Amino acid sequence: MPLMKPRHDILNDLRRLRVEKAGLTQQQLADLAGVTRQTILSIEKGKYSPTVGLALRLARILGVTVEDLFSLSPGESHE
Amino acid sequence: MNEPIRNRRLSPVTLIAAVLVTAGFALTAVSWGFLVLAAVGAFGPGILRELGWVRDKDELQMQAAYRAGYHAYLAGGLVAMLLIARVRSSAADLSLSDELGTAILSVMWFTWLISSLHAYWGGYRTAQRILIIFGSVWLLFNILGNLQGGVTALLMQSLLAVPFFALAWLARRWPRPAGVLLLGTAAFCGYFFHLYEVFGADPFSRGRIEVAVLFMGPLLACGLMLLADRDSAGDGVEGGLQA
Repeated sequence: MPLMKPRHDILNDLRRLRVEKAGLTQQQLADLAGVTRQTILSIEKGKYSPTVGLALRLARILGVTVEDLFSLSPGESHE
Repeated sequence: MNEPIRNRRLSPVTLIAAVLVTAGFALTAVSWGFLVLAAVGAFGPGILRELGWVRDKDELQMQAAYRAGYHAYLAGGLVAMLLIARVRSSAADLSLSDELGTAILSVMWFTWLISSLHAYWGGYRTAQRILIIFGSVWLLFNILGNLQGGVTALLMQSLLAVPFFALAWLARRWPRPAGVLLLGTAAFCGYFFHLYEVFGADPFSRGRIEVAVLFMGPLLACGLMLLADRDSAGDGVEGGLQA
């Protein structure tokens, strides 16, 4: 979806950590983070890059660091 | 930390706004003064959110709202400038009547609506649902318009809605061909309903611009979304992976 494509490709491991580490549904994580399920879905699908505040909240809820959750794509990492 | 956002489809503010807009437009039959109600419903919630007095959207929804607003500004501004240039440079005596304002508003609102739906559902799902709504509205008007014309006329007229439902079905399976067909259908509608006359001597005659937006707009928008979106199948709140 070109209109929503971020300038930099940001990879995320949110879905795996949400399911495997925290055992949460999208709705549960959304409720804990104070956002809608659509926002969680969009982040997991790489359609939306969250603000720093939301990234920090998600990391705290899942008990990981922001770097565990998000990273730049390989092409961006060395810039 | 932000206030928790309740996961409702529509917040109370949005519902109240929808009621005000609907009532405002309906009551214009009584007096055009009631258009103020529609204006309050259409723009009030956004103003309250910007003032920070209402917090019913999360950051993704606010970003979608900002994007839709920007798209509406681009489309509305462009159309406004083109129309003003057309009117002021015309040798004919075209008046800057309220038709100009209505035309610009219709383009602005249509763009805002499509952009908002696109952000919420993604391109493919938005196109499918717009087509179903378009076909349903067409069917409803045909039924209402032919209630006294006999069963045969009713059935024949209702068949006109079938292509839209067929295109919605096609868009789900083969989005690209469906996109091409939609652009073709939009061109056919433009020819069939003489909507190309919007570029003629009097673009405001009989609400041509509004009719063009209402008839060709959804078809063009759906066609372009199906052709332009590369990976939006499964987007949107209902396409989620519920673990």
